[in-house]
Amino acid sequence: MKKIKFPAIYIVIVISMLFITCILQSKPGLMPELYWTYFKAAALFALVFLVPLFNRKIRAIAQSVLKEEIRKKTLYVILFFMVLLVGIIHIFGKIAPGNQHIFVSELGLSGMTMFGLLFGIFMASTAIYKEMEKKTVYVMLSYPVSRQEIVMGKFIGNVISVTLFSCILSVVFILSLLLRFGFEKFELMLLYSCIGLMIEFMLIVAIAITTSTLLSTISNFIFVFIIFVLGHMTEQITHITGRLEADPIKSAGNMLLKIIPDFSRFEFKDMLNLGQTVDVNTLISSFGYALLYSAVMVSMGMLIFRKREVDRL
Amino acid sequence: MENVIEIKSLKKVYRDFWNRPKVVAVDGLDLSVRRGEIFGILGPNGSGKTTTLKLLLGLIFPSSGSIKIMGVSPENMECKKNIGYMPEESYLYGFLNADEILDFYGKLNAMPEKLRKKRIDEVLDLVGLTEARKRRVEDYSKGMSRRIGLAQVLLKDPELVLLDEPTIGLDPIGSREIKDIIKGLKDRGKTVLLSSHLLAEVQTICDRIAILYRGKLVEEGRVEDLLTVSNETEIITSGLKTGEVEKLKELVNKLGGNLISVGHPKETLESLFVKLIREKSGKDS
Repeated sequence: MKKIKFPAIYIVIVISMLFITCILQSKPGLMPELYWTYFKAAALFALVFLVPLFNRKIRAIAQSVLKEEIRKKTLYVILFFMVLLVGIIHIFGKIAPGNQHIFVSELGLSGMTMFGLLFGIFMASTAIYKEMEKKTVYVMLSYPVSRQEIVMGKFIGNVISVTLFSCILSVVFILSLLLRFGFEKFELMLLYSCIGLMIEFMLIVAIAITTSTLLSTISNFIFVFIIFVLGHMTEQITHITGRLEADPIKSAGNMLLKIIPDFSRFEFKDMLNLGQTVDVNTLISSFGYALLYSAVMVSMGMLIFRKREVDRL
Repeated sequence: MENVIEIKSLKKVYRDFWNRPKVVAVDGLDLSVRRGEIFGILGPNGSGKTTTLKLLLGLIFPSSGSIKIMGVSPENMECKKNIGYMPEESYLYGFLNADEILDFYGKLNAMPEKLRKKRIDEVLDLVGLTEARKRRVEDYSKGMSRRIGLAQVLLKDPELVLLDEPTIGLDPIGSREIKDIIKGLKDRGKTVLLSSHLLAEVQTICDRIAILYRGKLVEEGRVEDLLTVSNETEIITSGLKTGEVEKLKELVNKLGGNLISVGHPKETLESLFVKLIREKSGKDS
């Protein structure tokens, strides 16, 4: 019997998950919403990260990505950014009007978004394209490793790197806030906001990895940045398309809303300012959404790279 | 003898964005490489040597025709376990050291940890990089980069070794060492396919060669057969004095031949250089 390969199983599972999701969403009473949310998130997490990590080759590629990021100058940029963040908290903590801790928290979260966005896009945009440009993929493909395993290994390695660096930043940021304003001013929403950012970065990495199988670094950087901006404007696009009367443009707007990722799901900064809270279910649901979107993106990346001639840039 | 590589009517056309033919890099190539031989692909720049290697590795796909490596397609994973590839330049991760690079490729080849560690020690010793094993590859000289490239091939211990310009950029000693390793591979029954434009190098180590020009096969055969000038005879003797050489000339004329040249055989510059340097390094040590 012919051995079924990892990528084939992976793509079949992703399509099945999409199919099941569509069925369950069309019939709301089929499964209690809460259990369904947990189930989806857990299954998707296993699918996106745990199952591939059982593959030794994917693990080796992911490890090499992490090693590269740690050894690059990136780490020094992060250290510099951490010092800057702590400095901002202390300076603005003294001069900001009104709710100082809210103002400083928002400022820090905005800074972290910018850092994560630049770091995530730049790192993932170069992931596959750089392999082709530097021709390191030539040697790699002379080994019994499939192109799909390379894409998956790069994705997992980049997600682990960006999550690790975001974790370090978040810990330093939260500790600085605690030291400056004390534990009584600490809001759980701040922690949720940091988690939301990490989920957002994972999604950005998935999109950038997929497009890096096709586009050069600069084009990819611009493309992913546009997606990021559009993804944050879903509410505005919904509003505009709702007011439109011309059918083709309205349909195009609705189509765009279906395709682009909804990044507003992970943005809790405004809620923090308004004193609102987010429940764990919403957070898990957003995580599930990001995982499913990432799985679809990475599957697409695997399919594109499968037939890509690696010497044509 | 069994063919390790079989290429039939292979054609590779590079196309532009609008799918119009741009370059015909390989045009109807038929080639076979037998088990246990060193086969050289020769040709000027743009003759299709590197494209052929890329097609053999499955980096690009044929426009038409077929390639079989040990009876299967180059994209087959089982086939890749038996192929080793050393590119023209060191296309390895510069941020890793020699130990880490070989460990990484060992993992990609699904080698068990114990065997991997043992083999890494062996191949580093063989290519002379044991002392530099903890240095990052980006800090290596060109010669050292070639050696680590060869080490990742040897680590796999493949049946078929593909080498793209294996000695380019190396000093004569390094070049000789690489050639000795290639000959060693043949002695162990491995098949080697190398592409090169250094004709002297190909002549000394290859059993058979193919000459490509503009993607087409111009000539193929055993090096000895292709280089033999069948209407001339070479006589090498020792211990003859000047007068006796004259007698030999007369004898040749008497037999109806035409003596073209008489002189002393010469060493190649490479062998003289290698001999002198080895003598010197032997004295110093």
